[in-house]
Amino acid sequence: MEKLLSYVSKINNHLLQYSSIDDALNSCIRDIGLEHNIDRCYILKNKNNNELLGLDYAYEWCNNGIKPYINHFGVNKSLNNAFLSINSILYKDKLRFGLGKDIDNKLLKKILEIRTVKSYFFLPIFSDNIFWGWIGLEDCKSERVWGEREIFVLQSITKSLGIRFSQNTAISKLERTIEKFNFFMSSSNQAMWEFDIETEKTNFSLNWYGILGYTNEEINNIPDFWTKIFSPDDKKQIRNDFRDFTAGKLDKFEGNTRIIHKDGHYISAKYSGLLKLNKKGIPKKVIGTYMDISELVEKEKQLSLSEAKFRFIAENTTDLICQHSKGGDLLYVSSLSNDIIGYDFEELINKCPWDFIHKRDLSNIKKYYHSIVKNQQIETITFRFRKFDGTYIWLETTTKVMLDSEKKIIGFQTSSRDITKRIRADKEMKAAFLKERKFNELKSNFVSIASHQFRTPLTVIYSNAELLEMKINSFQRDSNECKVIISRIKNEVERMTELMNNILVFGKQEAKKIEKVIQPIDLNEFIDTLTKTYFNKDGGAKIRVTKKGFKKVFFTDESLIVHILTNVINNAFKYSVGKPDPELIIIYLENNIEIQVIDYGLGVPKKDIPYLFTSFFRASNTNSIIGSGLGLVIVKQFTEFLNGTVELKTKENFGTTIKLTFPYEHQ
Amino acid sequence: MNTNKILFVDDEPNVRETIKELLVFKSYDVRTAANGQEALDILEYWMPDLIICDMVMPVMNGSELHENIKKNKYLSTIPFIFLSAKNEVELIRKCLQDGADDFLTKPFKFNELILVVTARLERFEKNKNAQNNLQSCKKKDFLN
Repeated sequence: MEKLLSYVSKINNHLLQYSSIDDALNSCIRDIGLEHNIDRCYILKNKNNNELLGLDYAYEWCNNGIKPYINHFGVNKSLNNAFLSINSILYKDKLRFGLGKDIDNKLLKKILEIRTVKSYFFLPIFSDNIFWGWIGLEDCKSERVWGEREIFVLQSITKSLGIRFSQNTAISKLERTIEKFNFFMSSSNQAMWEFDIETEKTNFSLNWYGILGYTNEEINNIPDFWTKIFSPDDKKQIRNDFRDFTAGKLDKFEGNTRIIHKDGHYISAKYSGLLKLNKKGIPKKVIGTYMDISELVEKEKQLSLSEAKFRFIAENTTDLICQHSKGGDLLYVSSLSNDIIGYDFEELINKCPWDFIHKRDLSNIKKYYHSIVKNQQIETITFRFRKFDGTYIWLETTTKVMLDSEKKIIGFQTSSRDITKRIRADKEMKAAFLKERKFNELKSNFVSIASHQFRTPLTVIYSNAELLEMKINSFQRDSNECKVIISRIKNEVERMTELMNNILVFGKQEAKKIEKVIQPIDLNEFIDTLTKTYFNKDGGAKIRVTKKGFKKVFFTDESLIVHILTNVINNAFKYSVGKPDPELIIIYLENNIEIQVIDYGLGVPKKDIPYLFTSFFRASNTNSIIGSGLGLVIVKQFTEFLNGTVELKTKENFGTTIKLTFPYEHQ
Repeated sequence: MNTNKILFVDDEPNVRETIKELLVFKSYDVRTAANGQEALDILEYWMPDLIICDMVMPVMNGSELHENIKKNKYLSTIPFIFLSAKNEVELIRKCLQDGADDFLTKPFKFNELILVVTARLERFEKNKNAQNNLQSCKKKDFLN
């Protein structure tokens, strides 16, 4: 019994003594082999650590004169396969032993024959309830019977092996964790300390050297090291805080301070501590960290500096500077917003600027936004923005995307300026330019048409002069013929005079040289005088004048009205020769005065009607009647100049009615 | 004496009458029309030796009349002279390119018109004679 105990304790000793598992197992199988007086002892390891087994002939001890198989690949492989085929038994924590010749598994029997095994003993090893492998014992000399005690001992040894394996796993896990922890600690800018309240001793983690420049030994050799490294400004306060914290008077021990490097320079640090209590709730230790935040502090300083710079620029530029979220909402608006758009900058924070944009510009803004998101380039747009008072101003906005370190959009920065004046000036300039161009076209057309209009009477005059000359030279002086020729010349001179007069009047109106002299007139009397002076001559056609409604005083420019009416009445006479006399009707309406001039003459062909108020246009049926093509144009211009309107109704061969309407008062 | 026939087209009655009288004075047989359409109507039954035509006219203007005449194989050989108040170089160039024989601008000196008319008529006569000769030769060949 004593011998057995010593054997088991020897095995356990191997397992405890050796830090290397290989050394421990090799010693164990050697002692198992010698103790049981067998020829071979070996361990097969399950490599896979899961349901699928994968066996590895890992350790082997052989008696003197017995052939080892640890490096025999073929036999090992066959043995493995054979074990796999019987593993269903072993795997379930059942042992298997007996004589080699009695074995029922053919493969295993054959292998054991090769290995000259007379007796065998297989035992599974479990570690943390996971099948770890098994141990095999072989006797090549005798067919032995395995005793009960022997079996029991082997089972308990196998259990010890399992325990050793699980301990090994735990240690290696812990080692890995410590290794990881040390790695992280050494590469981090955070140092740890542990203060024992009873002994008042402090332990420091290794990376203090990196942070403070002291070696671990120096740290440990300087008494009260940790109290000496704070900046003099904070030292007292921190010591007081620490005392209160360990006494339970302060809930937290944390803050920012500056600690002094071995070189003498300061490092910005964040410190904090945690109280460790024992089971009775009495404070035992304080575990704390110091973090080097110099870089962070420096960055914060730079950031606040650049932010101050940005704000200085944003607040002092004449442009409206804004920052927007990724979705477009306003996050920052410079204080100039009040001057430019009438809103206080606070009112706009978190608002979407699209809500203020003129609906006609919205689709453009959306396109602009998508283009910026897509191209990530600075782009400029102009649009209308609704001010606080509801009016719109034109803004010219330049947008830049703000990106994070991974080049992802985090927002937008915009700079906007009020360009309403510029847009207005542009529009005015464009309008002025167009007007100028139109006027120039009109002028050049006018000159070209006017010169054409002059050529015809000149041709008639010159040709008739030539005709007259020929007749005189050839002594064909028929006085009647000569009279015709002379009357043609006279007619054409008249036509040219009319043309010239009209061109002068037209030119004046075009150049806005005509001034209105508004005065009250009695239209009834005025028309009577006009018709007597210019028309209704003895022996000729007469115009019949009718008056309707209650007479009212008419405020207008007399000379312009003369121009208008003589032109219209003249036309009525000119184009109705041989037809019933023309008529003139004055109608006093409530708010307006209406003058109708009606003739029963040629009328105007339908196709010509749209062009009647175009300079130099003459209806196609008026060739035999002298005219400049300017009369109606001037009538229309003057009437509108006096705030009146012209309407024309006409039918070819039935006559024409011209209706002029004016307000009584002239504003 | 063989009197040359001239068709004068102009919408202005005074111009029409004056030019007609001038040409008649020079012993031409003159007929007038007030626009292109009237001229085409006359050409259906009266064949002139020369046409003088205004450009800007109602109903059918000078260019349209010229185009119609050029398309007609019986009329296309008749000399065609424009007489217009229009004097833009581009227009004149285009009319001449389209086959007009001359382009005079109003106002004009009658002598100039007569010079142009005479020259065109002479050439027209020569061409006519040449063609007649050719035709009589063909007839002779045919008879022989």
